[in-house]
Amino acid sequence: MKLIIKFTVVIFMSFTFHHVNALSTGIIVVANTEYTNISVGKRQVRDIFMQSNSQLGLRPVTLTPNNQARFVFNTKVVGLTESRIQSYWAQMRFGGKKRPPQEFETVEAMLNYVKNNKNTVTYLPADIEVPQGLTVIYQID
Amino acid sequence: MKHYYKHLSILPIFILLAAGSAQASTDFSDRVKLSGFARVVGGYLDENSATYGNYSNSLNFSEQSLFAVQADVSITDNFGLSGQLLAHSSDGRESGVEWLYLTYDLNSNWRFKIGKLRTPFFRYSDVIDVGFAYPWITPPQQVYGGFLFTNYEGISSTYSFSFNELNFDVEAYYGTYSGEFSRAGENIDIEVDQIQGLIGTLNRGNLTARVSMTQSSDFYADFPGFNDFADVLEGAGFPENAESLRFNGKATGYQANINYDTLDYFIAAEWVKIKSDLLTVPQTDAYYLMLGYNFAPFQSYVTFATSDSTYNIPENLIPKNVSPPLTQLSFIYDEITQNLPLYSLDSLSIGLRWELRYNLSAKSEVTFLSGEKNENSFFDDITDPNFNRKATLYQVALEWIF
Repeated sequence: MKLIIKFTVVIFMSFTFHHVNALSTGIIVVANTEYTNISVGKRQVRDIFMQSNSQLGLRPVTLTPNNQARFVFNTKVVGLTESRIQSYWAQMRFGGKKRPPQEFETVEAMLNYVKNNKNTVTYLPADIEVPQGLTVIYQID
Repeated sequence: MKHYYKHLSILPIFILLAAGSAQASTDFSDRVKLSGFARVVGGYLDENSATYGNYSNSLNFSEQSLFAVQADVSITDNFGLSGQLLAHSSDGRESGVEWLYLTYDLNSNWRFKIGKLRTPFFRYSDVIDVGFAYPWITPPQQVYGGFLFTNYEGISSTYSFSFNELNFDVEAYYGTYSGEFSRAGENIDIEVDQIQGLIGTLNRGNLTARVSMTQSSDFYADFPGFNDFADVLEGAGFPENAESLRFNGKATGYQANINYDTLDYFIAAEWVKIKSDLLTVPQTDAYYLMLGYNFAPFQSYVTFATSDSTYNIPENLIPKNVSPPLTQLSFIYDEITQNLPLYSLDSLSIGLRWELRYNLSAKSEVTFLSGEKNENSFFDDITDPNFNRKATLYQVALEWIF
């Protein structure tokens, strides 16, 4: 019985620990754009990444699901679980509608792509240094 | 008109061949994206005098299990070709090309599709095979029970635009269908030469609403003997009753739904109304309400669904006491029209979904069914006439997308 309680507590803690750890990171959204004075609101950022339509003409790219920053972005900016977002893109993809943004395995690979492709936009952990040439259009702690 | 549309599905194949030969040497993997989905679904019904969704009182894994592969080929920046091959475990579903169509993106607002497409009648109609895309194992049959058909050949155009923080999509589609229709255990050949619909979707953050209308008309259905009997009735001087046996009418569907999702909970409600002059499609009113709760890596939900149906059949004007031949005609007419399947059903589903991976989830679902005695209520193969149309369906599933 004690072992079961210990096991349950460990499992429970591993979920909560992950949750707390994730929320301690902020997110910055950066774009490769010639308009260096843009600033957008949370809902606009959400629409850029979920609707893949941007009135600013920016094309979003994201990280793969195993990345911490993606989890934080989903939670703080989109307000949906990864599972719900995957279901949403499955509806879009297999319903012949929008395609999800291109995904990169690492922040480095993604930043490299954005630096070299005009009018792209992505999100980063707030503690990463923003490379020159990219504009911060939104941030959240 | 009918024959022209039938050839539409061949068009994308020719374009694919042309594109293939032109692009033979270039980056194939950039141009072709392969993806797919699969489900393994098992069901058990705790009732031995009927089946529900082809589930009976022995565990069955080959009713909803399936595997599908989709290829999206980018021919140019604006032209694309998509095809989906689906292998289905059920005898009632044909495996093969589920859809095949050409996409043309005129600009960031307009998109056109032409070919063999999935019918987007209700909220989840076009992704009904992608179990991963919705919370249930089996979406509420009262709404998704399939009175209409799953594919059509034709064209679809979508206009998307945003205004402030609102995103709008308006889709119009037009096409035809020819295939087999399953009704109360019988397979009937059916052709529909005019299917048209209009869908409006509005999104704001995590709230989405959709309303739509669809109309199918110009039917041909191979019901044995119906046309002959209709001729007899018409000859006997009962044109209204004769007409009800022909398929000159139409079926119109109206739909509305909302979805609201947050990190912790989600709600969904959908309502559907079908009006029909046809014997194969009952007039139906159905809706469901779903409440769900997220507690990672799990998701739980409760869904209440209900439906009611009637048939729009004219009063039997053939007298029963005038002459033996007329009496016989009258009884035959009653026999046909009084024994059409009816679909009143209340149900309560409780389910749990476990996200094993971001693209793999396990689900379990219990559905309490309560139908109307003397109706089919979505049950089939009813062997006991005293069956009270109450049963419980247990299901488990594994859903995968790649």
